[in-house]
Amino acid sequence: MSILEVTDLKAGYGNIIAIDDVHLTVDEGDIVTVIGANGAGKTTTLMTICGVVKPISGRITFMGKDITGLSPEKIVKMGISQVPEGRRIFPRMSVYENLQMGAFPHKEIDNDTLNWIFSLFPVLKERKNQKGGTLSGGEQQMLAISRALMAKPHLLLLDEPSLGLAPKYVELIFDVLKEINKKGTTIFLVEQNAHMALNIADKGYVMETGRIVLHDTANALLNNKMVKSAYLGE
Amino acid sequence: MPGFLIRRLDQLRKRPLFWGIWVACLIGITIFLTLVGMPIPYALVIFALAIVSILFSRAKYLPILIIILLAIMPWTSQDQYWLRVLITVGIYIMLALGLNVIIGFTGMLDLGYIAFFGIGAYTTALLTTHFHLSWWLCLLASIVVAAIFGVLRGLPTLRLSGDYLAIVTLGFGEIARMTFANWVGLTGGPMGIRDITPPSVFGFSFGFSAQWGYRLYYYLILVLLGLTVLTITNLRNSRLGRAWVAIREDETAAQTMGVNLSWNKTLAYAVGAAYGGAAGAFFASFNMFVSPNSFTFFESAIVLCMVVIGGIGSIPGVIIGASILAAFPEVLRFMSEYRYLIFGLIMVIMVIFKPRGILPER
Amino acid sequence: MEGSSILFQQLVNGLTIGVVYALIAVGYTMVYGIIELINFAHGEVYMMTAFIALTLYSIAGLPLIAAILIAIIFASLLGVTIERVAYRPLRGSPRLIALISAIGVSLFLQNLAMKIWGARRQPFIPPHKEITLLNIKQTLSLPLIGEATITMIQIIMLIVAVTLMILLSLVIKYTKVGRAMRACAQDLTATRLMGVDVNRTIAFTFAIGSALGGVAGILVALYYNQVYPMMGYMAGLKAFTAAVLGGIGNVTGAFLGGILLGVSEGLCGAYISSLWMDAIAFAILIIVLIYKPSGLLGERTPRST
Repeated sequence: MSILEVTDLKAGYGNIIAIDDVHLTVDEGDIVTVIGANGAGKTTTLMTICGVVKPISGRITFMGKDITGLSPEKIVKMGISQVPEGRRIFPRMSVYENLQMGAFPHKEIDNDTLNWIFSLFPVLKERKNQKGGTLSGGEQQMLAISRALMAKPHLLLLDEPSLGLAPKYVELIFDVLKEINKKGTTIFLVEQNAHMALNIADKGYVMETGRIVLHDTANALLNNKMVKSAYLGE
Repeated sequence: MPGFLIRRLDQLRKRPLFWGIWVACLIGITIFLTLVGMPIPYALVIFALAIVSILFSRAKYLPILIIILLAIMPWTSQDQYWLRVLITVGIYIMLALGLNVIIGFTGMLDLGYIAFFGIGAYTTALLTTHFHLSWWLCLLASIVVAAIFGVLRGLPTLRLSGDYLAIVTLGFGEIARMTFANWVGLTGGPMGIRDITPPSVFGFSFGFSAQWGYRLYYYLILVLLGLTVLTITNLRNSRLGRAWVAIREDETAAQTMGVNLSWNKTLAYAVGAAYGGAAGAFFASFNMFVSPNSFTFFESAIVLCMVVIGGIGSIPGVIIGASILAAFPEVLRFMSEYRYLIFGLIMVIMVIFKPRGILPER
Repeated sequence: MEGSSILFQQLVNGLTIGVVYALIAVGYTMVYGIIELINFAHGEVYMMTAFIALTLYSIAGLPLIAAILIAIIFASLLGVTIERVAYRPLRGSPRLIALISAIGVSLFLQNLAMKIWGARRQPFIPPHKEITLLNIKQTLSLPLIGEATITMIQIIMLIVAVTLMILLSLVIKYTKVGRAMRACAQDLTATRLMGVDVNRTIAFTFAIGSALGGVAGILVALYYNQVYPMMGYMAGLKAFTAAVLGGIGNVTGAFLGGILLGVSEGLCGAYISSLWMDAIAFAILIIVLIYKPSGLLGERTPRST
């Protein structure tokens, strides 16, 4: 069953149209990825799903409900969380406060989720009272993912989680994503690192200049000639 | 229809923006004149002249037409009140153009600009009353003194930008006003300085007279304004002007292009302040009286609004903005008690619906 | 009075007026922290609140406490309305534009007050009345050190201001809405992605800031026993100075900045000249900005326009 369905989506900033004619389906329990170059419209797609960018036309449904044009706070409450590009953790808040912010849609912070997150990323537990801004890039990415998980989302959106990270952190983060997915959270992942993304994904989309140009199962895309030459460097 | 008329209409259709601006200018001036108190029949004559001139003249003569229009204006009425209003509008235009150098060209927010106006006014007031210097020398002195204070204020604040710079300039402005008010020995304190002599040429005074009224002041400010527009336009298109705009757009990028930030910013302050000083010199002799009350933060805010509402950076925009805002309280005289109330409201409405100003910089 | 008594007296007076600056400064600093706008109309909220309290108390004859409470609610509503009408439509446009809008609102309110209440100074407490608290006259002076004294109203001002500041710090530090406010100040988009209604948080910030500014207005009205339409102008400028002094965006800093400013003014009044008291505030401001632009407790420097 599809959890997210994007139909004929068009969005942009001011007079500039960033994405057009975007169709996407994310099935419950899957990891779906969108790969593409810088400026292809991947971030805009995520921001439009989250409601930060208002769509010009098209339709977004989440768990059977039309969420097109809803405000981000409503969309987050319905169960979509985003790990934004560049992590954007709150630098002058402690790690714990950042996590509290993640749990904002809920009355109380959920201890089970918190413990689970601390078992995924033990370093965050150690640095619980440290200011977010003092963490390393990799740790900040862990915090950003954890913060999104605190909302207990049905669908987790990630925007370039591997960007600017050392290789050992990239491996770690993708391993954790698989684990999060196993626990039942659907993942929608936007990546420039096509190799990593397609390796863990069930399904993939290729985006170029604001449009989806190709979509298939992740395995098929890994073997696709065009994808191989343009995105996998083979 | 005669051939030339068809051609003209054709031109109007082909270059609607260009002609539109001139038509709006001429029509605007006439409407503006009636609003500030010119008798309606005269206004209609001028209006008709404007229309006819647009239809019959060539584009390059249009500025000359506007100058002629401005020149004959003071003779349309014996009533000197509205001439005073026009002169005040002129002073504000000059101030707004000067402030535009700092804010519009160089992108440095300034909330204390009126201090330079005050410094210029006090310089002229002191020099004429104590040393009986010729007004023309005073004008020069006011320009130089204001520019020096511009540099003095600019040097320590070069590292600052944005809101902090704005607040520091506000602080300097307030300190200047308090100095005017508290340094009684020099400035006369809150009582101000009175009996400032008007400018004169070979013993012929520009002051108010039965025959001339305020017309000579009017022509004087017109000439000063002409010079202001001319010099500022040239500055804007010079190497210096390009450096300023580069700083406004991106300081770091400008630096990598070899633009010396400190030097160019300081110059912008000096130049902007100089125009403020010149306007102050004129104001002192026109008003014949200066006191700290003329140089409050409110005045700085109003001049800033003229620049923003007219269109930051755009010279014609700033002129329009200053004309409208300076004349506004007069236009609303019939509801005098509410005028600043409405003034405030219109400021809010303007920026919400026309955030880039009436005539934005291209 | 001998030297040390003068010093103590000026310290007490400076402290009293300093906590007032602090209360107003908090409104500036919180708003600037989130939307990076110098809310020029904030001083006018302070003034309007004093007038409303005056009208309710001396003209309508309500009990003082009731008049004050209603006036504070009014302050909150006014602050929220200003944000909704004049600032929210401009969010995302250049900040200079919003600044013009703020100046417009400020002008509007000043002149509205002049239209309603007149331009002259009015006593807050009518001549024939006397305010008492627990049967103690507000003007009662208590001896302090040497010949220095502290009046009842000064004690009340200090207690009220310090209590409110502590309460505010607790709200910001430990409540959900306080966290949301801090989050907004650090990253507005990320905060929206957390499911926070940013508009509501900003409105809440304005409500709290305006209420505190309103309290300051009433305290000052009681202290000097006068209210006038231009009272918000200087107080507003100085409070903003205090906010910058303490480090913009920082509530504790605003409090410190206010007290520091009040005390410096008191000392300047005693040892230099009361005429230059206002100039001192700006001189301090300029020096601080030039040598320590992030303020005393600043954690950020402002962005450019």
